[in-house]
Amino acid sequence: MRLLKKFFNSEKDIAPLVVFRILFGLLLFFSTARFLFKGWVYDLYVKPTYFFTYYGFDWVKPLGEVGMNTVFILLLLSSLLIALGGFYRIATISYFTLFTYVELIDKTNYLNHYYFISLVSFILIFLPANRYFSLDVYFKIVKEKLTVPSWTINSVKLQLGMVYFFAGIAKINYHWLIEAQPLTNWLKHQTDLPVIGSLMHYDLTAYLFSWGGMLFDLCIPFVLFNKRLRVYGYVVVVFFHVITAAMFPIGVFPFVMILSTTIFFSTNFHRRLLAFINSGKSSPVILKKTRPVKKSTKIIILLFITIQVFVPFRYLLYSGDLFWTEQGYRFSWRVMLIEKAGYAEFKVKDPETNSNLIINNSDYLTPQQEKMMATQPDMILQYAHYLRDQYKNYTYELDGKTQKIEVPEVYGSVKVALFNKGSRMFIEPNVDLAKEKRGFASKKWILPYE
Amino acid sequence: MSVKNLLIGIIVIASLTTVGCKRKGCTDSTASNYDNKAKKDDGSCDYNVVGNYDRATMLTNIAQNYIIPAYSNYELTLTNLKSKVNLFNTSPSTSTLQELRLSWKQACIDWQSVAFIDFGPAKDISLKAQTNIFPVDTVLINSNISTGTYDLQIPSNFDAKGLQAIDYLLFGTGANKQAVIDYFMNNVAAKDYLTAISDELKTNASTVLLNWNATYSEAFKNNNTNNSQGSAVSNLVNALSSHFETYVRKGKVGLPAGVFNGFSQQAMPGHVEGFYSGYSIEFVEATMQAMRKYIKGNGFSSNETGQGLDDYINFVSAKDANGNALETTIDTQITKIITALNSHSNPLSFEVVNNSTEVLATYQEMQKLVPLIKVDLTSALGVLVTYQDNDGD
Repeated sequence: MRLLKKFFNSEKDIAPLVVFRILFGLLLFFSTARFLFKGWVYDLYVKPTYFFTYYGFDWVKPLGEVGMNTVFILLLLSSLLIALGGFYRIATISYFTLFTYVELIDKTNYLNHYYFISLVSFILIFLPANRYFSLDVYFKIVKEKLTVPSWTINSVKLQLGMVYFFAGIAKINYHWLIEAQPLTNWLKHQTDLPVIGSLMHYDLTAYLFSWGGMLFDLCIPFVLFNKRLRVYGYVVVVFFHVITAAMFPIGVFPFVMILSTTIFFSTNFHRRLLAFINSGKSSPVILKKTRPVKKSTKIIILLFITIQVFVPFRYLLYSGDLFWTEQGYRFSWRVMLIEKAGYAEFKVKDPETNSNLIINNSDYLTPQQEKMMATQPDMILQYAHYLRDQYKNYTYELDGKTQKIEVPEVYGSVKVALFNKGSRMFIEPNVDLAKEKRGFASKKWILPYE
Repeated sequence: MSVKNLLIGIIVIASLTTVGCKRKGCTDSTASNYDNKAKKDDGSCDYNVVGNYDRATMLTNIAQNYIIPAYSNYELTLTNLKSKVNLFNTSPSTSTLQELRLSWKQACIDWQSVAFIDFGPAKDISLKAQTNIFPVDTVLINSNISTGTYDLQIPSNFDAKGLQAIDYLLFGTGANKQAVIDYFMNNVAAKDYLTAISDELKTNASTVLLNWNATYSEAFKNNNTNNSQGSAVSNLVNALSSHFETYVRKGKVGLPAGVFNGFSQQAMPGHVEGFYSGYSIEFVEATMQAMRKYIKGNGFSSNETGQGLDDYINFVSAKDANGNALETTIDTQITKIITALNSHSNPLSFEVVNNSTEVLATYQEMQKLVPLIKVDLTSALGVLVTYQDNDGD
């Protein structure tokens, strides 16, 4: 209760929030520009003919080449406006909506850090981060404020803390701690790293990284919240993310975390930073007395947090090894925890004539989609349903007669290797996937890991 | 509260500095794991066993002892083919035709040894598509011959040239040897066409070999710092995997067997390699033997064992799903495929029609090798089968 009070009921200098707005806005700008520059808009949202939508979001459709490029230009514009604090409310709503829309188009492209960006841009909508040092203030669209209710800054801190903490919890599993997987496999081939490359073939190195990573993720939120330790904590944050950036192809994520965590720094630091950018001008801040926070605000925030606390644990509702079945795997801060590779071959069967057609996956999927589908049961099922729909009422010649498939059956022969331990049968090859239902129910046709 | 935090902080920092403490290492420059950045010796010096797998040695071995000799040998066979074509064209007879046919068959066999090196210089000139497309378009071949005007470099002519076009010209233009000789005797344009396509085969082979010798082999060996996309190991494995899956399992056996022929799955005997000569099964077998050599890091002509992919996957102790060494499992599977191929005593075009059960059994053995290479081998080497650059997490 005392913590809750502290979370909500005090007035804080706005500076950390403003610095966060600027840094995060610039990161979004850079990350979106990079996405456009690399041609991924075309590769991921224009070129594919089929998209793996999320269950319940099948209505989300891409907008074609012009449409998708427009979306990304708007994202670019919104992120710039967020950094500058201009038309802030519209910019944050637009960024959150468009970004989340893009992410919902195809789960092939799911990444934890995209989920993180969706969540933070959602929170930003409700924060008065444009009340100081912003275009909105400059053009007198909003009144300048030097202080904000504490929950605004705390929400961002808590969100960041939860990402680390849950990433740490997720690392407490047999594969990660006892087998040091997947790091054992990955580090073996990282011998080219400067300085530490020669240590990479030792099993001990993988164990140190695994345990160190777990402890880091679990502890770092508390260290950052602590006034005296946060400087040291931040040094470790930078070190940790720089190392991971050097070792793995994880794009901008390390830099997102390095810059975002500066919000934990002291008010004084942020105030001086702003004064520095603002050519030395700084106004002394007098903290007003606490204003009561609306009950509805409190409830919404608590609900937002509660949902996030439970979502990572939904996997407990399913049986079987989480890493094998991946039921309840996404949206849970499981970052770099899995190494899986698969090979999937599908056949469409006409039960009337017992004849089969072997599917060439590249006729329907991009290589990236095929690769992701081959190891993830929900995507296997979606693809099987897509094939079923493609071949419904399909006509073909057999022994000189024209046949028409009324009810196509779809079977998958899928082999998957988990943590590099050899490929083995992944799903029941004799189950007609065309008849299996999508949804959150446990997928009985996934074979147990043997 | 603060004491607890302090304690946690210390644990975190301590655990991370252990990970981050990088200045210790082997400081003896004669050791195999000498670390020139290490300031303090930690007793880890290793003088016998190579600490990390030495990719440079493996790549050097594969390039020097397999790839370059295999291309040289292929080029040499094509030089021989050219001279046999010349001999046959000047004095067509049963014996010159026989010599030419044998020389062509050897060229096809030798081609199988280099077909999967489909990256770098070979990829640059689409060597595979220029050399061995089948089935050939006989209508196009005949019209090219009769008009006498054709540009072999344009992709629409790719299925009217190469080794398989010669298969048609030497075996498909007459019911017996005399008929083939007669065909050429009365047809100077056909002789010219035969010369043109055999010249082109040789030119292409020389281009690739020249590039390997001039610059690419150095670049290949030096591209060894990791196994990520675009590295030598990644190129080598991806090319091997895709060649076997698409061009051998599917192209040489699956397609003719009818596996991919829609719902009817009716055999397509016309889709075999070497349709007119009937050597299809020998060609598949040559491919499997060459793949085995390549994976084992054996020398192309000497057949001496050197560092190869098999040593690399043994080094990382790659296992199959049953806990057996992956290297053995792959090798055993190749043996099974070869045994299955040997069970066919007739040309594949005959077998797919008259002995389809056995052909499908052979195909199934080949199918089993696909995940072993595409999933097990690639992940053992940390090679991502990514075809597209993207963010990751």
